[in-house]
Amino acid sequence: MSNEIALNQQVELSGTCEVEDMKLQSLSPKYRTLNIIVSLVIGLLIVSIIVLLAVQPFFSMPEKYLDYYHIAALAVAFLTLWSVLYSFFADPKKQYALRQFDVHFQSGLLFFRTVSQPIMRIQHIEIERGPIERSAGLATLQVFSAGGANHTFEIPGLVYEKAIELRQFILNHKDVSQNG
Amino acid sequence: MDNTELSEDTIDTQRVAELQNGEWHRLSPISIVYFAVSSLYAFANTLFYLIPVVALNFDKVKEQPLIIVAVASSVLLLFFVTGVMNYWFYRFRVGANRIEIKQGVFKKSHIDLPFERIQNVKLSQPLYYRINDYSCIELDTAGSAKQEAKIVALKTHLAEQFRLKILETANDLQSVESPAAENADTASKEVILNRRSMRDLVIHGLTNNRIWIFLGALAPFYSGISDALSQLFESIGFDVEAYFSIETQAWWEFGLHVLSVAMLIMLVVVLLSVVGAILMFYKYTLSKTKDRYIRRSGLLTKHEVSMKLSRIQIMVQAQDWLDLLLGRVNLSFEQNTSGAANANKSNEHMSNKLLVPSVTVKESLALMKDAMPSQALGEQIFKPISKRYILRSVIFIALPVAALVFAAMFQKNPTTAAIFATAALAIIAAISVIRWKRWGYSYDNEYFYLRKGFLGVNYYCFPMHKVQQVQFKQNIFIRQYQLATLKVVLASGAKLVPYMPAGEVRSIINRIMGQLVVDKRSWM
Repeated sequence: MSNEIALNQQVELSGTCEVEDMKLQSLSPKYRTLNIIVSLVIGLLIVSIIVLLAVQPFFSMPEKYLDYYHIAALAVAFLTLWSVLYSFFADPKKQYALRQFDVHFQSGLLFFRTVSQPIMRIQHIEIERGPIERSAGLATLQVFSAGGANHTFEIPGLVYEKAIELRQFILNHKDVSQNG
Repeated sequence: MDNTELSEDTIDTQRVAELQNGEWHRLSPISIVYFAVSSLYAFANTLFYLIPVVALNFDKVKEQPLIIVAVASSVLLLFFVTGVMNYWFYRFRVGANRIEIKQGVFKKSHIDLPFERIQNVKLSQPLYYRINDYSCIELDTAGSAKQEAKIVALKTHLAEQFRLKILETANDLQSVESPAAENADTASKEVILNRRSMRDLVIHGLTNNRIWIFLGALAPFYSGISDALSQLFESIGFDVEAYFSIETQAWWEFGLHVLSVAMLIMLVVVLLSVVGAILMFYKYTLSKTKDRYIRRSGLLTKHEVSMKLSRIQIMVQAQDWLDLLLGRVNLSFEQNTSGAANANKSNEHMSNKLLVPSVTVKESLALMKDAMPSQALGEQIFKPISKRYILRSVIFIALPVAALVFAAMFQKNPTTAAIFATAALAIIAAISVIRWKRWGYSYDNEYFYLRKGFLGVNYYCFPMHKVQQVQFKQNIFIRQYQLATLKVVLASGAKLVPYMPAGEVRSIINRIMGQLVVDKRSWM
């Protein structure tokens, strides 16, 4: 019950508001940091494996590998840098909004997208937390409709408590219990 | 006459009541044939991959015909035994509002299915059931493929009564307010909405490639057919290799030969396609009860598919270029794709689609009016999408392709390379202009209409209150021109309209969201 009261304050109630005028809320700032760290760690790991395989003294690698390994390492480093830069600029663009009858998620640096999910059409909700997300206290809210698995509505990078609140708001919503 | 029918009906209701006494029943022994044939099918499917192995050892096997006979007869016996075993271990029990099925020889399964979870009841009658007038009932649920239940052999009369019973019970459980007696009365009244004559089916075969029905059935025998063909050619003294040799004949002669063979193949394909259409849609009827559509058709195996009217998500009016010339339409009603249950079935057998083949435009409009009375697809004036759609395909598809063609041919001869590249550019540009011309959208207070296609044209119509999710999409190339793509997700799949004015996409999204706030009707 307390969840509902706490959440009611965030719902926009000032008359009908159009989708384009919604006040969007940002994800947790930790989300970007986490994405960048994960990209860096994975990139560095792959690069170091490639380099270590070439320089280790225990067994000899094929000639071709020794000729080209630095190109592979550079390519991986470039991809890592790319994904770090992308996270840096694109993650702050990810925002969500909750209205009385629908949830929205906006994203995109070059390709913009706003997904609007009516709460009445929600079939079930999941909160997903991988080990990395758990360590940062984050969670991903997944909302399933009859539109199929390809069209799962997802808000990543939510503070865990916030995700629980959101889930509770949706579960308590009369559209889900009566008309869903 | 009336009396006998009446008494038959009462006997049937009695039998259904008997079925529902909650005891475990066994099937009629004729189901042995069904089980044997279905395991034979499964075997033939796997045998398909064994063909190379058999072909390699064919010479050795040919020397000992007795082995073939022995193997074949033991395999047949095996199928018979599997059939008997399956029959022996199959039990079903019908309660007041649920059905239970126990089956399986080695892998036992116990299905417990409440009637209200049943989405669809299909009756099918394979050829070998027709002698004794038995039918197979298939119960579809909205859930996974595992939950699909079949009662393999019931007398057709009984099966039909049983189907009604299940649907009525399911309805009663869902809508408590309507009195059961009235419901039962109206549910059994069927009105035939549409029939397809032989002529219609021939047209359908011509305009739609239904050859796969044939190819699918023939798959296990491909190698046999090709062997027989080559023997046939040899016996009539036709030398295939000489006919197609470039060295011994002029280029025009060669071209003529290729053309004639291509036309011959086309003719065969069209003929087979017509045969396929007749196999599939023979004696097609579309009928309507109070709240559902029922489709019955089939020459060898009679299929029956029923769909609840309220479950229809979208209506699709598809016209290929030949359909356009002949003024015909393939109308289909689509309901939700029930996940894995439909994943590995071919188009026609999918229970989420109810197809009315090759009706005239007028008939199609009438049928659509019947399904969704307030919709007005026929009167819509479609708005075009932005012309930048053409520009996009020219820049991102036509130019790269042309450049590739030019680069590949440049070394041989720059002039021909330039000609070919320009041709490629022109063709792709022309295609995108045609596609752009086909794109169109329109909407009223309740429905959204969409038109798209290339040589043919497809019309879609769906009620906005059945929308599951909406997406507004835009990229930096079109943002500056205030364009956007609208994506609407329905339970039957997603529909996309590219390059619309962004403001209009927003207003449609607001309209849909706004409607769902006040309109609490279910999408099912």
